[in-house]
Amino acid sequence: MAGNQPGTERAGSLLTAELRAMVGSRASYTAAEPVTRSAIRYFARAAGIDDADEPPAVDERGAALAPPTMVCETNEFYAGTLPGHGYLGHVWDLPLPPSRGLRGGNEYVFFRPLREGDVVTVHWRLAEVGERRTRSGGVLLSVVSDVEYVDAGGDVIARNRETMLYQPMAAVDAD
Amino acid sequence: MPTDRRPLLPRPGDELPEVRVDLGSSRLVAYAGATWDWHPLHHDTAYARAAGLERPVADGQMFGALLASALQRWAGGSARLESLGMRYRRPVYVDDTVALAGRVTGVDGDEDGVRVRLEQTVRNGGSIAVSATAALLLPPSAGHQAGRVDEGTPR
Repeated sequence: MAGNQPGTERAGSLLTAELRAMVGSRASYTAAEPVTRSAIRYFARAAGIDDADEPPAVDERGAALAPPTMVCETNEFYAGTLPGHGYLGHVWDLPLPPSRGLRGGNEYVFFRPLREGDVVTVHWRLAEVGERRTRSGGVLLSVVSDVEYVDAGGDVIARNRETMLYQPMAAVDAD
Repeated sequence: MPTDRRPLLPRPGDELPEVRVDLGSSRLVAYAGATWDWHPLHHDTAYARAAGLERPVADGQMFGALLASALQRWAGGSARLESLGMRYRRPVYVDDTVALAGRVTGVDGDEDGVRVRLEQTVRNGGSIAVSATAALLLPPSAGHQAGRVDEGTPR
């Protein structure tokens, strides 16, 4: 979904100048505590991984290794008061009318397994915004973020390119 | 013919065994807890309907965990998942049963080992809910020699 050129916003477009100006925005979060073995087992059990309750794979120092996608999927690295919508992870404060947000895609790259004992810092950058018309003529906004998960030494554990899609609630109601 | 475990040397066209997953409410709640994501879209029917959905919807990222698990089960513990890219095409709702499938699309080797590229899908009934691509690295110690991988022809 390509970004529209400035000045070509159409009626009903969500791709405002204010939204475009957010491209490049950054946010970072550092976990309040290290990753625990029980958190790894909980994730493995929830993900339906075979032998989730067996002793986990460990590294040369005996630290449990997490299933590969846990580093990108958990929100345990984010601290703070739980918002009303129940999602603790990062959310851009986008200038949008009431809209429904859905996941469009995730692209993970793993450099090493997440380990028991890791203290993770998560860096977010708003990389792209774009818009297209749906078959029914409605507007679908895409917001692409680049996310990097680093350990206490600053080494990258994983990267995640995440696409979120937003549709105005008025259009959702009309469907 | 899909095999429960990968062949010693995968070839383009090799298929992974299908994995069926029931997405009952307990599984969605467990994943929500494990990932610290208690968004009501994933567990609150009234909230989901107010948002224009039939009923609570599975977190799309859950399929990352499920697809990775299917890959690891097939490839074995020595394999390392290097990348996984997913496109979420259709919502999947609580109590749906999905079928995970995969196919090897390419194999190449270097000094790090043998890299296997795959396509995967998550089907919900007759529709593809999630399409994915992945890359696995099989270490040289897994019985392969770098630089001598035969891409071969699809089975």
